[in-house]
This record gives sequence, C-alpha cells and structure tokens, in this order.
Amino acid sequence: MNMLGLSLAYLRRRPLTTGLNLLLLALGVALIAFLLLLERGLENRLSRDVVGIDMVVGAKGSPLQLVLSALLQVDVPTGNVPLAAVEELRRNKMVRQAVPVAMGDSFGSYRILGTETAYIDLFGGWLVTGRMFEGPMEAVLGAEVAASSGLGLDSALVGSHGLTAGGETHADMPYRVVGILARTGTVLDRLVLTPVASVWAVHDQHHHHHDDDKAEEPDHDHDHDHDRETAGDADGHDREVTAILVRYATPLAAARLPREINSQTSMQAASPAAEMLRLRALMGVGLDAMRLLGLVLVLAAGLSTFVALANALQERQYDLAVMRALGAHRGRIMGQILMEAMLVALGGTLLGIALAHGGVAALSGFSARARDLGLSAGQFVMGEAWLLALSMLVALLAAALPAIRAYRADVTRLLARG
Amino acid sequence: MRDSNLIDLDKVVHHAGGRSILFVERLTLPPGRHGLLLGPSGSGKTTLLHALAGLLVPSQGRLSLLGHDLRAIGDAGRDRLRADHVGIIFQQLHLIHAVSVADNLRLARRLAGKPPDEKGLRQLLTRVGLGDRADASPSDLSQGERQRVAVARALANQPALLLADEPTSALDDANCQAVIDLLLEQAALSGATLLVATHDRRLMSRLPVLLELSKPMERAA
Repeated sequence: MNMLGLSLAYLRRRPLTTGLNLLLLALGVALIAFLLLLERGLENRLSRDVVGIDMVVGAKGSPLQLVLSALLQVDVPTGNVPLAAVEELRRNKMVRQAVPVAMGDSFGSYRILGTETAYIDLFGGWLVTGRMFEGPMEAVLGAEVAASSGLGLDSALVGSHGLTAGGETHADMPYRVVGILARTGTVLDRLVLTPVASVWAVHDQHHHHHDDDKAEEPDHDHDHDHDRETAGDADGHDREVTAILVRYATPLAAARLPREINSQTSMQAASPAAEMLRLRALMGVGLDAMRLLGLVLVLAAGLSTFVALANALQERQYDLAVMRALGAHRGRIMGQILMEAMLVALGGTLLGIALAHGGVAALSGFSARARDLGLSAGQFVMGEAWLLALSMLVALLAAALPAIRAYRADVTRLLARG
Repeated sequence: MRDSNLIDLDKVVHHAGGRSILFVERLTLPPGRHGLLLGPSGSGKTTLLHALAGLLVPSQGRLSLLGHDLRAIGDAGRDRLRADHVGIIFQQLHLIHAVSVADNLRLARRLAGKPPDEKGLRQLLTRVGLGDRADASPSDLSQGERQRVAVARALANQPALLLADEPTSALDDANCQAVIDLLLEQAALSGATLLVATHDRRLMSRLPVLLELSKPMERAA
C-alpha cells in the first residue's frame, strides 16, 4: 500500500464526484486541445502551401478567393486570364518565375490541375516512382490521391467535369498515370497534375461533343463551375489559364508589380501572405471564443475538485489524524491531498487529450475537408504539454486550501473526539 | 542520557481552553510492566495518552519516552519516535475504510517509513484470528473483528509501547474479558508494554493501576 494506491482508493470511494471532476476537466481540455490541433493543421496547410509564392495573378474578383482557389485549391476560381499574360510576366525583369495553373476538372474529391513541372518544384515535391508528365493526357498523382485511389503507373484516370465531385465524366478522354509523388504535406498530395494542354484538350473535346447539339458554345452552362473552367479555341489564339503563380526576382517587385497589374490590366494580383493574414484574423475571433469556453470548463473542473476535496476532508479528517498517529508527518498528509488532486488533473487531461485526438481521427474519417487540412490523430502539438501544466496548476490551486487545512489539523482534538 | 524507564513523567500539566485538563505529579514505567491509567471521563486520560505518543506537547513538565525528552526532540522527532516505538488503539478504532484490512496494516508500516513485511503481516493477522479476512473491507467486519484489526495495526511496527484508549468501556463483561485477553496476549507476543487508559473498573482485576487520575475540578475542590 503506497501513497498512490491510497489516493486511488479514496478517489474510487467517491466514484460520482471523481467522475464528474474527471469529465469536466476532460471536456475542457478536449475542447482546447481539439482547437489547437485544428489550428495547427490550418497553420501548416496555410504556411506550407503559401511558402515561396509572392503573388498570384488571376481574374478580377476577391483576392482572398483567388489565393484560396489557385494556391490552396479550396475555393472556386475567380475566372480565367489569357495564356499570353504568362509570357508577358516572364519577360518582366522583376519576375523570377511565373507558373500557370489551369483547373476545371476533378477526380473524385481531388482536383486535376494543369500546370508545368515547375509547379511541383515550387512545393518541393519529388517522384517516388515513374516520371514527370511530358505530353498531354499524362498525369502525375499526389501521394494521397495515389494512396486513396489505388492507381499505379500506367493506370487510366478518368476525370469528371467541374471542381466538385460527381460531375459529368470525361470517359472518352482518360489520363495515363506516368508518375507518383512522395508525400510532402502540401497541396501537392491532393492533386492530379498534368500539362495545361491536357485541360485544354479535354475541354476542346468536351465542347465539340456538345457543339453537335448546340452551336452557341460560350453561353453553354450545364455546370456551376463550368464558366470558370479553363477554355480556349483549338487554334491556340486565346488560350486561357486560371491563374499564374509568381515569384519575384527582387523585393522591389512587391511595391510595383501588383499595382501595375491591378491598374493596367484586366487581371488582379493578390499577395498570398497578406490574404492569409486576413484569413487568420477572421478565424481568430471564433477560435478565441472557443478557447475561452475550454478555459472556463477547466476552471469549473478546478472549482469542482476544490469543493470535492473540501467536503471529503470533512469526512476524512479522522483518517488523516490516524495517519498522523501512525507516524506520518504533516507534510505527508498534505501530500496525500495534493496527490489526489494531481491524479484527477492527470487523468482528466489525458482523457481530454485522448478525446481531442479521437475527435480528430473521427473528423478526418468522414470529412474530406478535414483530411484536406492534413489533420492526423497521431500528431501531438506542444500546446498539449502546456495544457497538462495548466490542469496541474489548477489542481494545485484547488487542493491548496484543503491541503493546508489538513496540514494544520489538530490531531489530538480529532482523535479524542472520535 | 538514557534511563531504564520506558516512560518518565515529572510534574506534567496541560491546559486547553484556559482550563487545566491534566495534572500528573510523577509517572514512571519500566519496560514490560503493563498497567492501567484509571480515571473518569474528563480526567485527561486521552490527553495523557496523546502526550505519551508525542501527538501533543503538554503545557508544562518533563516527559520522556525511551530516554528521549519529548519536548526537546521537536515535531519531526516526535513523529519519528511515534512511528518507531508507539502503537495506538483508539476508542473509535479509526480504521481506514477506503482500503482493505491488509492495506490498513501495510499503510501503518508505510506511514512509519518502514519497508513492507508481507510475511509479518500474514503472521500478525493470523495471530489475531483474521488470517482469512485480509482482503475484506473494514466496513464488512463485525465490531469484534474490527477491534482485532486495530490491535494488529497498532502492532504492525513492533512498538515498545502499546497504548489503548478505552478499549472495553462499551463492551459487556464477556467481551470485555476477551478484549483484555487479546491485548495482553498480543502485547506479550510482540514484546510491547501495554498501557490502558480507561474508566472501566472491571479491568482492575487484570492489570495493576499505575496512575489514578481525577477531574481537575474535583482536585481543586
């Protein structure tokens, strides 16, 4: 029978009270930990996918939407820009690199992105097998796409029309998988990459197909996303892409280039860093409110633990006095009370963290959007260690008064009264 | 300065709440000499027991246990001395109901800072006739069985001095004899000196009266 065993025995004697305290603490901790995990996923996603890109050029509209659609692949595009703009940007001395992206089709819940192999380098991707795409209708799969679809090299991949799953399929124009990328934890994992020419080819074919029964093609709109898709005539004169990702050659560019584009062209330039900052500020208020709720729960657990210990002390004062009579010194009695509070804090925190990770596992199990954030139940964040420290501190404060009362208890009076 | 007496009290006075509740002119007890501290309720018997156990320090006077001056050795010293040499059986027994019978005994060793002794524990429980109740909860025992647990727990650390506070006052004659038999037998087996504080005059036939306390009020009158 050691002190730990004795503390556990006392906690077991009051199952309802102990259970309530554990639950309160666990819920508070779970809420905070869950938010921490969610935030971490979001931050990672944002910072990794935005890294290195100084400017996104696309059709006029919301700059946040442009960044979200072209970089993070979450929103719908703002429209298209002419392919000629890519060449124009590349001629600009202030531009180190300009990479076009073209979208319009998807494969399951993943987007098919027409681009150049430079796009893969931007996010630090590399091949685990196969080769990079070279010609139209060749596709390189992101790690997650490959894993969840089970497609291997030389498999045929049929895209569907539109950016949301369940659109009309392009069964007559399958892609051929030529390479699979390593997992990078970036947007690459969730993309099917192909030359821009493939996207044009699929849609030329698609439109010709529809030309058979309808002559007026540009107004044709059978899909919400359709008008945003990359289009162009077969002759290549007014080929379009969805957006252009730009890296500057000089810091000076940041001051001049976006202004030039916004004022002198029909396109808009958006800064990923600035838009992400705005997004975080928007989400911050909500997250703070939730965190506050979690904190209130943790404090409520502390208060409840305090009341439980204070009540228990009343009925246990004889036990504590006897422990003194058996030879225990005052410090040991105090330690006993503190130990019980700490056990509840430890148990509640671990339970809460387990709940939070279970929640993340469940969320990424049925929500593609959560998977999209790269949430994984097996990953821990530093904040969780701080949560443990916070719970311990709250428990220490809750137990302090009862422990001091136990320390000062008049043993002889208690024992004599019996 | 070690003397041969287990207990040595000299002019011990204790006040509480502005009243004198205990006065002992002189009390010495050589090892092995069991005895009674006899006196009515309120005569300070329990206070004297607690003072002997080092649980309280009397207001005045000198008292020593095994040659140690209980006033001089301080709080920690008294805790140590009590853990090593004193076993106490309370009137209300005060078993710890949250844990089993065996754990009550283990706890006694643990709290006294002594290593576990499973063999000794089994022997002790068998000795008091509770060999098969080790894992029972104190709440499930009869009053007589609980008393045996209390005796066994008080002896778990092989004390030199076994103190019992009113062990028989609530019992009928037959049980009274059974309890005093148990105490004498177990004290002898453990080599402890038994000191019983009681107002129960039935015990006078079994143990010599070492000290007869009276109420301070009556003394004054």
